[in-house]
Amino acid sequence: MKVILFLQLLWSVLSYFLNVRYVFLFQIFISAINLFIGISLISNIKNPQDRIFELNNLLFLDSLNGVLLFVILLIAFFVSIYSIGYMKKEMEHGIKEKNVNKFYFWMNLFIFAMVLLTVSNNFGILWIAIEGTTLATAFLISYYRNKEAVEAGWKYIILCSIGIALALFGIILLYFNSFPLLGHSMESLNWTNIYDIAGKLNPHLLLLAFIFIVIGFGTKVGFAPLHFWLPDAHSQAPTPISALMSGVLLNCALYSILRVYAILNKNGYVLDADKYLLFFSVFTVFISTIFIIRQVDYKRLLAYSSMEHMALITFAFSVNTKLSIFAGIYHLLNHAIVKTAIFMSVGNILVNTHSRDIFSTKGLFKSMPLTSTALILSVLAITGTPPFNVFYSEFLIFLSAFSSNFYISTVVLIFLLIVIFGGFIYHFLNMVMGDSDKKYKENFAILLPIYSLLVFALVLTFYIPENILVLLNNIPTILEVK
Amino acid sequence: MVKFLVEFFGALSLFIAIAQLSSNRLNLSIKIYQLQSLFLSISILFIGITFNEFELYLSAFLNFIIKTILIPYLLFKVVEKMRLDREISVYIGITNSLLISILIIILSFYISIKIDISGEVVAKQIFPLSLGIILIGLFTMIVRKKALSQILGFLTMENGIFLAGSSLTKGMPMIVEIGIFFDVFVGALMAAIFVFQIKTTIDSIDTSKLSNLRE
Repeated sequence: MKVILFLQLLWSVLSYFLNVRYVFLFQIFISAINLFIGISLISNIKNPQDRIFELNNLLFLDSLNGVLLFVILLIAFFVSIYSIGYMKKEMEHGIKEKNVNKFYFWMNLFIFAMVLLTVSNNFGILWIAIEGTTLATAFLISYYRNKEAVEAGWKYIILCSIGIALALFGIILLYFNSFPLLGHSMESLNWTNIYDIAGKLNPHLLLLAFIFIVIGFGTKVGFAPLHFWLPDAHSQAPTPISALMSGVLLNCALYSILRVYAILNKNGYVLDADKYLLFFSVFTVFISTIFIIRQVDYKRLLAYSSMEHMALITFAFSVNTKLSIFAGIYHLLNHAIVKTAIFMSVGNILVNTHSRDIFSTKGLFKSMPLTSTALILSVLAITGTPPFNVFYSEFLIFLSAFSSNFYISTVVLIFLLIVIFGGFIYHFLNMVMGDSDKKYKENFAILLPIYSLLVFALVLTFYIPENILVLLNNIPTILEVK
Repeated sequence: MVKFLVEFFGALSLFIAIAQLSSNRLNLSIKIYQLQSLFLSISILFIGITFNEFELYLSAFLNFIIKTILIPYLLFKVVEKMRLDREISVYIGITNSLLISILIIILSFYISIKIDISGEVVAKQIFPLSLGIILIGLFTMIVRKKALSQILGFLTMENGIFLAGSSLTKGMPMIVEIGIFFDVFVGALMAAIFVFQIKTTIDSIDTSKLSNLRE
């Protein structure tokens, strides 16, 4: 883990100074090495109790963050390939080389912060890393320096900072709860230590800490009344960053909540913690449905769709059975892959047409056939159409919810998902159909990652690689589900 | 005695958070923030004397350097460099927001009654005080229109969290604390750069004019 962290940090500094041509080359190389190291690390984990510690117990890896580490490195690898084609196009349209360097500097720092967040055992370091992701992406969101981009960046940095500050208060309460038992040291903020003594913690204080943490990190996940930064940030950021944020950053924030949730589950005396998650998940799907059907900007539409999927994962965790947690993490993996693919395809449209308006974009099948095919396939995938993996995991989530008597919320969610499906098909068919006399050149470096991700999404329906499946099966035990 | 002093300075910090809500000039707001950070450092210093711990002395020192000197200096520079209009504009008038702040403080005391605070705690009353500072800081961010006042609201909130952290738990572990200081400092720096970007794009720092991204 420290190798990945070191490499990523070093590379982010170097990418600021090197010539752009070498940056393009090394970006793929470094992210491939990281992915390789990551896969070899997680294949060491076999049992739920397996934990790999590094750096004086500050970093650790178990099944839960193993999956997340895999997702981050995989998406980062594909986004790195994609960003080259994207940035080359942007340079043709007059972005300076210095700014491309800046883009790679912040992007690599962003990936570094996410990896640090994932593998850190210590809640303090986790907090520092999640604030680091906010700071690293703030300038990426205002990258194009126009009025909208600056507004989105400002909203992002302010709202997320408030949220994260509240989460820090939650972490202090957690520490306040654990340090009489563990002593005043770095150890009493370590997740593994708190988890081991979870049964002795004070449940009232634990619940209060959990509420602060859900609201705080929930801002970053995009739970409904706290989501206002999310569509702005996702629509204004350069597309590779939107893909990283949607596919990975939201998962990282949700992961931080899950770590605390695991402690609450193990403690066993805290009632109703899952009710908060249930409320946020159903409300978030409801809000995102409303905004998806009346959306005019296709990147914002995808941002709302990310909110919807994060809420579905949260719903799976609020059901809190073995099957539902398996399905939730499986959905996390599927959503990250498919959402990255769809963001990449709309990014290719945006970089050519320079318009985010759904209704002024017409005839994409004529002007860029390969991209529109990818777009339609990924729209079908993200809305949960059968041959794709998202369908399977959504099916499992609803199955588990039904079997543990969550009838009303399940029916409401299924209804909302059908409406979302309609909204997606209506908006995106509008974009690809019709006539167009323009013809855009389609870049190979942009298309390759999209199609490979789609193939990957299709394969995941029928076959989950053995290493990953072991991790997925371990996670319900880590979360102490009955 | 020390318990009294810690609680006294904690209460002063809350009082100053309310004063922050009533200030009508940008420069004055920054000075108020400076004073609050000073009280926070003194309060942490007293806790350090009680337990005689090096980490708390260091924390008090860092607090003093970063929050009473560096960040206010940075903010004063921003006000001066960009020749900002020093008036403060608000969504809710000062009188009404002061009345609401009373409700916030009652609420934060009400929440804290329900939690039985056990273990070695320096000053029990710090918990509602710091909760009050956090919520008032949040409220300041909501009612103020100008970008710089919102940064100050955030910093106030963050001071409340630090007060809670140091008096409830004898301070977070040192590495974590230094990391948090670093993040807050960089965050303030970046927010200041954003103020600059906002000023250059819309020629004002009134965030109510940032309204292009609406549904």
